[in-house]
Amino acid sequence: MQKRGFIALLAIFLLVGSAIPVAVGESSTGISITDSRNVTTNLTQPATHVAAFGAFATITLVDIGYLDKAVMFDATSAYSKSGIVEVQNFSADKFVTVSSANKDAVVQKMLDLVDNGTWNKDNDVILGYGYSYLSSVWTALEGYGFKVITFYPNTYDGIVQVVEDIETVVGADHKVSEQMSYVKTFIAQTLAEHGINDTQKVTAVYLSYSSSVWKMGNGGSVTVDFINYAGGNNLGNNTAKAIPTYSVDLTAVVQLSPDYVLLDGYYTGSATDFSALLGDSSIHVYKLNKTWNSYCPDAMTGLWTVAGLFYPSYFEGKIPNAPASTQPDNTMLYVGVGAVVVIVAVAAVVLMKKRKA
Amino acid sequence: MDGVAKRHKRVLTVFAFLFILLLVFMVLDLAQAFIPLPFFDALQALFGYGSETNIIIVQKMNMPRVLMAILVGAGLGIAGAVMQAVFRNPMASPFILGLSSGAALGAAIGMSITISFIPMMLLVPLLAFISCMATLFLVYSISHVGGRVPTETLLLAGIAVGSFLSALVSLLTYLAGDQLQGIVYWTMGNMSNASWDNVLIVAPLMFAGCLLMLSCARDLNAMMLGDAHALDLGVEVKKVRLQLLIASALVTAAAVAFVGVIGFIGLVVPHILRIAMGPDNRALLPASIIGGAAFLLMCDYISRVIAPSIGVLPVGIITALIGAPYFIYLLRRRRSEVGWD
Repeated sequence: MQKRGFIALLAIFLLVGSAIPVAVGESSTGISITDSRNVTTNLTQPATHVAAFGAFATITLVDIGYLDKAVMFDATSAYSKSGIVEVQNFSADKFVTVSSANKDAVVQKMLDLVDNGTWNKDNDVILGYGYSYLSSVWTALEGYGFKVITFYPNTYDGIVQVVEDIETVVGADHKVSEQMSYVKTFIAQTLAEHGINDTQKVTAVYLSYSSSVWKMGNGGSVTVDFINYAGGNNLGNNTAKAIPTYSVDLTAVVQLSPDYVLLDGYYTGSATDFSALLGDSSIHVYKLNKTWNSYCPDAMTGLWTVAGLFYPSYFEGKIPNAPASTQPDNTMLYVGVGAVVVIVAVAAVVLMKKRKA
Repeated sequence: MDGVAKRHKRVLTVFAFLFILLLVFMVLDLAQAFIPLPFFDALQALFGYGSETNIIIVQKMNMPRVLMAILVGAGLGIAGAVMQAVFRNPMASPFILGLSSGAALGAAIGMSITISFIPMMLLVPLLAFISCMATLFLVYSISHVGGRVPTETLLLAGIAVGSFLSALVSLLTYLAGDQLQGIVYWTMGNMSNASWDNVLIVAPLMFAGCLLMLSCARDLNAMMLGDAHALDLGVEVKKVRLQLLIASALVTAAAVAFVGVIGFIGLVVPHILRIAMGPDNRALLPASIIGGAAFLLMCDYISRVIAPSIGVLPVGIITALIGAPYFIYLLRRRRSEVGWD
């Protein structure tokens, strides 16, 4: 009787002891991401393979060290168009033009991956842009059972979230997204330490040029976030307009007279060319890098560079590294719980043997 | 005599009105900025007085745009008057021979290719210009039958060629995708990017074309009576018609090359002036020059003030919004009422 009781007791301890790590483990391996279309994708584990249908996704995968998970790319990720060195020697059959006119070819390429055993529809994910003109492509792919996660951020924090989501999808740690958040925090803290208030902030505007029209950054865009988070005052902000950018002519720049003009990276001329157009040498013009407002870690470089431009004495040199993550390590938790269970079980065995004796 | 004096007085009055309109809208348009300048501040800055910022805005930034509007408006105005007289058709305009479609095709090609030794800013206007002139050559060649170029054939050929070229532009736009998004805005017309370099290129072409057309005003009056009557009056109809077509195409090509397609100026302005001062091309052509310039300046001003929450609208939208209703009104009027007979 006592022996049976002892065995039952031991069994209960072992069961409870193993259940705790399993319970803890379940909440950390289940993945649920709601994308820019408000579509939620659930994964039981990180994706084995991904398709990077956007140069932003390819750059992010490179930066977080998981490019090998990508088995298909969109044409804009090719080296000739994106300059991403890591894909330079990839074969042409790994690239496909992702557009509504070409959606049948995109679907066919993905189905071919399924047929040759490379792609698992249940657990592999397609990463793409959330532009409305691509919605037919995503709908077509989802119609064939593919999982698609789209991204369409318009803020710096939104881009950080994009990087974090991609890290989660592929099972990477969150070092890169944490670093991106840290840079923003570091800049804000440094400015506060030096007592930079609203009246002392440098003034700036963001200008882009598209389809022969100049547009000024209002709010709700990444580059305007660069200005704000880098400690600048966006003179282009107009609360009467509800749009992120609005058309202007260059008289706007002359009349607003900002300290800095941040010129969009896609402007075909140089900063010097633009300065000549303005005819006002007191306004500093800086042309941004094209990838800095892309949905990838390059945005962090953009933010740091702009902060260094505005306050060179505070933000110079390399980007500071984020401190080591303070998130709890679940592995130690498992070991601890397991050790407690073993100790209690051994103690129970010893006690019962003594009583018998 | 009394009737002639009356007509002269009316013509002078119209010219005076057009000049005043031109000057007023010139200053109003020069005053347009992110924060519009007061009228007299703009006038002061025009002559180099006032704040440095105002002088930069008026003389450096706005003046090229205003001068370009004057040149383009003048050219399209007189080209429209000439086209209506050559074709003896009140619906004719500078773009009737498919010239706008030809220019758009050239611009679309310019936006989708790169030539290393030609900057993009010059490539698009250059190809638009060449394409526009090539379209005239094509339409004229198609219409040239048995040593003659009937105006009806010219019109129909222009419509057919224009439709074909528009389809090519659509095809290019579809294939190129985002790369040719700019062509849509180009076809709406945009004065905002005019520079002093552009003005210096367009001005001589406009002057040459306008002078050639003005020199044919008397012959044009004869041609409006019909080819047979014009021949009887000693007009070399075929030669004059060809000269006028080339001159109006030259002026139209120069106009669209840098600012895109701006419609209805050549249709609306000659008509309004014909009602006001009669069909005599010796007065109508120079009046169309001034009237076209004033009309485009007015439309450019309106495009900048009408929707402040959006910003600057393409000027071609404004000319169409004003011109199209007038065009409908025109369709309902008899030819005699619009001074055609």
